[in-house]
Parts: sequence; structure tokens; C-alpha cells
Amino acid sequence: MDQTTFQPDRDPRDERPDPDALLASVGEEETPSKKGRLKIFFGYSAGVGKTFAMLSAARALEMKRGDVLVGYIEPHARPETEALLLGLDILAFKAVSYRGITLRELDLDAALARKPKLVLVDELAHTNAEGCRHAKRWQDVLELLDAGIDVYTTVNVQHIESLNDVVGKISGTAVRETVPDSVFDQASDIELVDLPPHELLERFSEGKVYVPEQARRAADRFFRKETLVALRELALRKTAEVVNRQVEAGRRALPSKPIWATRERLMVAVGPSPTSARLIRATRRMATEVRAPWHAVAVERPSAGAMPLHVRAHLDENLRLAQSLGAEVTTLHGERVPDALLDFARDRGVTRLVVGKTAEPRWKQLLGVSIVDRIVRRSGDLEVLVIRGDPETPPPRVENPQHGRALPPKGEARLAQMLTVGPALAIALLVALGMRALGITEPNIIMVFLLAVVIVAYVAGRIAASALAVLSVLAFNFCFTQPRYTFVVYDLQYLLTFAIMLVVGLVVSGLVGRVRSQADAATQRADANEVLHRVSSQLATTTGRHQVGVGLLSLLDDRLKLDAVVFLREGDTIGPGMGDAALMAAPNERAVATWVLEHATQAGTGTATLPHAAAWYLPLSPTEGETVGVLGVRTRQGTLDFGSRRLLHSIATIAAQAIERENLVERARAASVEAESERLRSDLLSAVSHDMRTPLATIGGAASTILHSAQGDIGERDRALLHDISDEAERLSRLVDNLLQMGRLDERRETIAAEWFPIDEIVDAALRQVRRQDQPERIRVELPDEPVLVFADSTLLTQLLFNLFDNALRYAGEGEITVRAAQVGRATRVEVLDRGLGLGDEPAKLFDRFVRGTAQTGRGVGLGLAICRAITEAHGGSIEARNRADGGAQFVASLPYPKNAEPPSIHGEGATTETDKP
Amino acid sequence: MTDPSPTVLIVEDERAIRRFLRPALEGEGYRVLEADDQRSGLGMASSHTPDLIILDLGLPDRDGLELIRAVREWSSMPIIIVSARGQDADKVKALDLGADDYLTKPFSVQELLARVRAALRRSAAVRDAADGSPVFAVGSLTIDLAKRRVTLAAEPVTLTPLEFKLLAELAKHPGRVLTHKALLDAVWGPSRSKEPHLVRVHMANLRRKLEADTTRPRYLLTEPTVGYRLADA
Repeated sequence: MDQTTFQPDRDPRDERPDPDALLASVGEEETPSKKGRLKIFFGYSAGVGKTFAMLSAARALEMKRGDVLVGYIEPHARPETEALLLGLDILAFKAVSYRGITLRELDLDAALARKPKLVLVDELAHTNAEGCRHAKRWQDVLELLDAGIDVYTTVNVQHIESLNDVVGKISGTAVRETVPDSVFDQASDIELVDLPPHELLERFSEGKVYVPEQARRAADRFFRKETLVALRELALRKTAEVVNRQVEAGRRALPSKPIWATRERLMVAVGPSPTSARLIRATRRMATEVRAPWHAVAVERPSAGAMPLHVRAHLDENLRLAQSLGAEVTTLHGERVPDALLDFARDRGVTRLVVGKTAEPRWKQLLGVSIVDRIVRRSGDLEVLVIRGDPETPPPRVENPQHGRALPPKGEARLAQMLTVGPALAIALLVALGMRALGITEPNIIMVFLLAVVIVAYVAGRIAASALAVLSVLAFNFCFTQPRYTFVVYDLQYLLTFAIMLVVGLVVSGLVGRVRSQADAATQRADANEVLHRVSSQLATTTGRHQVGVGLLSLLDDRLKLDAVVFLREGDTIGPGMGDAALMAAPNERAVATWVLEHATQAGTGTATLPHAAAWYLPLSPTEGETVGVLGVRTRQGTLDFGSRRLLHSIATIAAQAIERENLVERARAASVEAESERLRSDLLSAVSHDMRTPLATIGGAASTILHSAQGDIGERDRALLHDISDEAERLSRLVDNLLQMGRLDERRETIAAEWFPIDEIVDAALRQVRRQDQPERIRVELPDEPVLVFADSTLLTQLLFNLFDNALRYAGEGEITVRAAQVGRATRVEVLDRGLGLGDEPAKLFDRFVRGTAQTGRGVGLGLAICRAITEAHGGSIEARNRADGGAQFVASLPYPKNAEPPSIHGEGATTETDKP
Repeated sequence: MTDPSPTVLIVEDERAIRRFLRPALEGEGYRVLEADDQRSGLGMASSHTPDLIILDLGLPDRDGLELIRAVREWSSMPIIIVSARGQDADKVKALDLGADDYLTKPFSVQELLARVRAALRRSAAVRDAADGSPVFAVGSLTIDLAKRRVTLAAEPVTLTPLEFKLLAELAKHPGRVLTHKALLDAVWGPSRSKEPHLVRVHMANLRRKLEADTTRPRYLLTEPTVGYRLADA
């Protein structure tokens, strides 16, 4: 037995508890999530006043905080309901024409663009017209919620997926429009809109309840007291269930998702019959009641051969239903269905197994060999619930593969198989006739026919072989028994021969056919595994994310015969794409792919979102990190079955991992190139600036020597020029100092020589540098009475302070400049404040290299503040720039104390060991 | 002030720097000698016995520190270091070996001339009063080493014993840069020579008692990363 487990997509409807999600949800409590809140006005029937209640609530909210948008209200509203709409902001309908009729739908994009606080959307279960983004209105609502918009909506009890069949039985009317329970459960608030049944009946008979014309007759059956009472009870129970859960969730301080409180774990055996859908709903109800996780499991018997397409479609539909209801869906492969189911159940710790009681032949039931009997007999302490099949809707003629009979292949394939019977019979007959001519005896001739049966069984399957067995008996009878060339038999012994021959032929054909179909199934599975293996091994060795995309496309084309397209993520959207040209070029398809990238959820044909796309699009989501791209696939003929989709999901995950890996490699490469060029640049800078120091000293020195020694010999103009030479040389040498400093800080930020210094000394040194540059020194010092100590490299800290002073003197006009220092916690804080124009909107950017303030009052290359930041960081500290509330800028550097060390006593040591002498 | 024209020896390998230093020094009335490496510099120092040496630490043949060590074996002539390296360790080493002062390239010529004047004045003062005056006075600060008394604007200042020892050590070499290590050795003893923060903390406290503005000191001057000097004018 082997199995493939399919984890449902991580979509917003997925409610199964996984530890990460539970942990994450704790975080959500702290930071209010950005998702919108859903409030459902819930009723048991049309006409109870849901829309009215919703509008009243919305009006109250509009009065209180405004920004309420009426997204969609059914146009058949009664006058008193219409009145409530007055004064509310109403979104225009989206008109969709469908087969000549214009339908009115919610304009989702307009609502998203408008982004109100709250949107009202009537009739959650509504099915959208073709041409809308989503097949169902509840999907529109989920997208609104994802966009952070609150939604009010209405829904009736018969539209709840898990209650759908129960309601159908109660009311006798089938409702096709359903809302998944998970969506219902997502509501943060459920308001039950209740009306006693007799009042509702009154309103109905008064014609106050809107019923579409075509449903008039059904409505008459629906609006009966006993029906309404039952529905009302159902609605109350459902509400109570949700409210209970919310209360408990609140108690646990966890969000209102189902929490698996019990050790129960349920499992339902799923086949292709409609009964299975009932079983699935029933299991979901039970699972919800006991709040247990549940599995939906199908068993495929390899010997049963390939499933005909329509049966496969039924099974897929049932599995999808289970998945949408929150089951973990698994397909097992095993010959013995009961064993496969029970092994899986034990393996997963299932406590309750739900199976359908299907119409198996009575003799099987009497002999106790029906599947259900076998399961019950071997179940041990596992609880088995047998639920009766639906008598009103007999299961389709097609057998449930779980119950194990081979299904005749359909159509052409079967015809081709049957066509082998004729030639086989003819050949066997010719050989037999030849053998008789050679005088070979009958037992050997019989063997020839049996051989033909075996061969046909292997080549063309059981049905053809069985037919051949029958025909062989007839042919043998006709050609070889007395009287020849009649079907009359004289010797009664031949009847026994025929019987044995027939039985042997049928048994052999059955056995051989089973071997063959097992081989086929194994091949199929091996194919799937091989494809996965191929994909992972090929993509593992591919370099470059585009190459990964190309490799993926060629594998899909080669192994699965699928037309495909890959769109890789470029920033926030998809790139140009590669693969199938038609898919790539169509703007509609691109739009679907873009939606898939943004929502990391599948869409397109065969899904409920944008189902009219030509291809099926699934996100390339690595196990960690954001979606890296989108894969779109289109079959050349037919549709994709559940198994293929599952396989493609697996392939998509592998490909996504490969692409993510390549993304990381590219990023790492870019980073290392940057680091290398940064190092080169700083080496070069340091070498150049070192060699510039002596020439600069010479230029400045020579100019000032002439200036001071020549005295009266030079004119005013030359004096000014010499001043300029000297000043510029000084400026240049300061720049060189900065560059050198920066280079040194870049190279070895670990090796700063920090010691304890009184901040006065550092301020003194920085002020002296200011004076050396003939800057008017107008800096006010504010220090506490006690000496402030700082743990720093004095040269670097002096440079830091000087740069801040210099910056203030250059850019802050004539206003007062202040320097302050203080001990703050285990750090020393140094501040430089000015009264200039401030720093603009993004003060933090000033610390980037080569960024300068806007006031062009001085020259410089914008290294000063970058150095300040490098210096504070080298000290393990931080620096911030902000605008002062009352004008000007404030730079705050914070330099921490070293770990495990306290500043030395500021009163010095040994002060008391000797007495003072006057 | 005995010799009307003191002799200054420039030991510097950069011709361009010698070329502007010479007229600058001659403009101040000094006689100027030039050497372009350590060997010839040492030769000239011994043969011409200049009154002051301006020494570049980055010489092509041998380290300028060697020259200081050699000269200090027989002479106390002032030595002013000019260093392009920007490396504090070399300056400190040079000062510990007996150099009097230092400047870092690029330097202002005016600053150099001021340092030369001060160094010459100090060495003349030492020569004049060979036994050394027990009382040092600068501005309104007086330090009486013999009586262990310090006054500021004629008001007595109360110092702790360590503060006084520190101040006295500086007062014994007015105007000269004393490295942290030199001060630690003299005041705390060689065992504490790895704890320069002792000097800084006591200096901070001294400043609080003697200076009007500790961040713009008048008497107790900081030589960043190197040490301290007591202003002598």
C-alpha cells in the first residue's frame, strides 16, 4: 500500500489547526490583524428580515463613524428596506450581459478601489454571472476582507454547505448555491435574524416575501409550518455552535477558529457515488461538533484498472468537496480496501471511521464478505459508523471503485479491445485445425484455445478474454467434437470439457487481466513518481531562475503533454513569462496569473476563481517566503483530473523551491560583488589619501609661509589668493582625513581602542578643531556638575563631535548651537542641537554616504554624517537626527557602556588614603 | 635669550617641506640647518649642536625615534616631532623617549613657529635657573611646589594628595607634553601604567577646581590621545 497525501492549499478558508498558525494567531492578538471583519446576518428563510437588519445596523454605524458603502443589495427590496438605503453611499452595480440578459453583480474592483471601512453585500451564497472574477460571491467577500475591509452580509441556513443536504430533505427543495462552512466560521460576528414561523407564514401569504416567479411552486412547499420550524431549529443550532466556539476561543484568548479540543479524529471513506458526498457532509458535521480534525480517504485498487472519466470526475468532485469542508484528503492505493482504510486509520490515530452502507449483493451480506462487514469485523477498538446510502437517489450505475469491481472501459478503447477477439479466435482455430491435420489429440488443441485466451487477457483485458473463452468453447464444439460443424454434442463428457474449458478460460483471463491492470496502475504511479523525481533532480542542478522555468516547461511538455506558461515574479507583479505563446500573449490570462501571484491561491479553469481562463494557474510558492511566480497549465485535450492537479501542485512546490534557491543565490552573489567592490574602493581611497597628505601639507605650508614671511612685499590681491590656497589645502586635507577615517572604519570596525574619558576632554578637543579652522566658535556647552564619562575611542569620538559641530556651523545659520551630554542608563548620550532650518522629511537619510542637506552654504562631499554613523556603530551605539519641535535640528548619539564594566569612580582612587595638607 | 640667533635643525626627507620651512624659520630670525635623513641629521646634531631639532618621524633610512634616543644620550635640546602618520602610538613613543612637542601633518606654519618659540623659551629658562624655582605661576594660577600650596586668583585651592601630585608633576615641566604613561609612572608608580583613566578622572576633577570652563581649559591642556600639558603662558 502506498499513499499520496494532499495538503489543501493554504488559502484563507483553510481552517485546520497547524502549530504555526496557532502560534501566529497569538501574535495576531497583539497586533490587530489587517484583515477586515465579517458580520453575517443569518436567517432560516427568505423573508425573516436579514437585509433589513443589516441595513439598520449599517445605518447606525454610518451615523457613528461613517464610511459605509452599500456594495450590493438585492433589487427586490421592500419599501421599508428601500427607505433604509436613503443617505447611504451606494456602489453602482456592475452590469454583466449574459445570453442577452443584463445581470447585476457586485462591482468588486470598484469596491476595492473605494476602500471604505465597511461594505454591505447581500446574499453571500449568490453565484456570480460568467465574466466576473470569482464564480461565487463569497469569494468576492473574502477578497474584500483580505483587503482589510469589513463586510456585512446575509445568508440563509439552507445555503450552508454542511447543512445543505439536511435542508434539502426537510424542505424537499434542493439548493445549489452554497457557502463553505469555513467562510461562515470566519465571521467574527453572527447575528441571527429570527421571526416566529407563523409570522413568517403570514408575511408570505400577504405576499411580503419576495419569491422569484420560477420558484413559486417550490416556495409553496417550502413555506409550510413544519418545514419552517425545522429550519429555524437548524439555524438556531448552527448559531449556537458558532457562538459557543467563539466563547471558548475567547476564553482561550485565541481567535475564533475551530480548536481541536478532543483527541477525536474522524475519517470518512470516499468513493465516486453521491452517497459519499452525504457521508462527507455528515462527517464534517460530526467533526465540527466534537471539534476534531478529519480525513477523507479514497482507495484506488490497482486491479480495478483505470477509472472511466465520468467516474473519476465524480470521485474528484467528492474529494474537492471534502477538501473545501476542511478535510485532509488522501488517496490510498491498495488491493484490499478494508485493510487499506484500517491501516491508514490506525496510522493516523483515527477514532471514528464513517463508511457508507452501499447496496452490495445480498449473498455477500449474508456471507459477511461485504466491505462494510469486513471493516467492522477488523476494526478493533475503532468506532465504525455505517451510514445508509440515499435511497431516493440511487447511486449511478457506475460502481464505487472502493467496492472493487472492474469497470468496463468505455467507447473506442473497449471496441479496440473487443476487435482483438476475432483475429485471436481465427488464429487459434487455424492452428487447431492444423494440429488436427497432423493428428494431434484434443487435449492439446484445447490448450491452444486456452493460450489464446491468456494472450488476449494480457493484451486486451478481461472482457475480451472472457468473450474469447466463450467463443473458444463454441468453436471447439463446432469444429472438433462429434458431430463436427454442428453445436450438437453426442458425447456428454464433452459438456464437462466445455465447462472446465470455460471456467479455466475465465479464471485465467481474470487473473491475467488483474496482473495487467496492476502493472498499469503501478506504471501510472511510477510515472507520477518518476515525473516528480525528474523534476526535482533536473531542477536541483539547474542554475538561474529563468533556466528553472525553462526546465519546468520542457518537463511538463515532455512528460505530461501539457501546454504551460511560467511567469516569474518581478517586484510586485509578474514578468513577461515564458512557454506557451498563446497563454503568454493573452492579456486576460496575464490578469489571472497576476491575481494568482498576488493572492498565492490557484485560479483559472477548473477552479472557482476566474474559471473562464484558458489555463489553470497555480502559485509557485516555496515552503518559506513569498510566491516566486505562477505556473499556468492547459491540457491539449480533456480536463485535468484530481490526481494530475495534485501532481502539478507537487511539481509547482518543487519548482518554487528551485526558483527561490536561485533567487537567494542571485541575491548572495550581488551582495558579495558589492562587498568586494566596496573593499576595493576603500583600499584605493586609503592609499590615495595617504599619499595626498604630504603634498597637501606642502601646499598649505608654502602658501602660509609666503603670507607670513613676505609681509608688505605682496599686494592685497596676492595675499587673498595665498589665503585661498592655504584655506583650500586645509579643507582638502580635512576631506582626506575623513576619507581615511571612513576607510579605516569600514575595514576594521571591531578594533576601536575604547577607554573611559571625561566628556569634557572630548568636547575640548572637538572645539579646538573648530577653532583651528578659523570658524567663529559659538557653541554653548551644557554639562552636568559631575563629570560625564564616556567609553569611546577618543579620536573617533572627537571626530564625531567635530563633524556634528561643523555640520551645525555650516547648515544652521547664525542661531545658537548647543552640545549636551548625560548619562542615560548604561550609555552616554551626546546631543548637538541647532536653530537652523531643520532636516527636511527624512532626517535618517542624512547619514547615508554622499547625501547632503539642501542648504548649500558650504562645500563638502556629504561624508561627515556618514562618518558619524560609522563611528557610533563601531562603538555599538546609535545616532539619530530629528527636527526639533520648536525649530532646528537635533543630533543624538548614544554610546553604550561596555558589557560587564562600570565607569571608574569619578572621585578617583586613593583620595582618602592621605589627608589633605593645606 | 642669550643667543641672538638660535640654530634650528630640520630633519625632513621631503624637500618641498624643507623649502617652505626654511624661509619661515629664517623670517623669525633663526639660523636653519637641513638634513634629509636620520644619519646626516644625527651627524649635524652632534657637530653643530643646534638649539632645537624639528624631526620628521617618517625618514627613509631609519626611524626618527632612533635619532631622539641617540640625541637624548648627550643632550636635552628641545625636539619637536612632525609626523605624517596620524598614528598616535608613534607620537607617544617619541614623547616618552624625550621629545618635547609634536605636530601632525598637515600643520599650520604659524602653529609650528609658536611651538618653536615656546620650546626655546623653556630651554633658556631651564638654563637660566639651573636649580629650578619652587614656585610656578601662570595667569592667576600659582603652584608652590615646596609649600604644596595652590592658589587661584590668590584664593587657596583645596586638592586631594593625588591631585596635587599630578599638578606638581605637570608644573615641573611647564609647557611640555607629558604622556599618560609618564604621568602614571610619576604619580601612581609603574604598576598602574596600564590605567590611563586614572589620570583622566583626576584631571577632570582638577579642572573642576581650577578651570572656569572645563571644555575650554586655560591651564590644564589636553593633548588628545597623548597626554596633558600645563600652559606656561
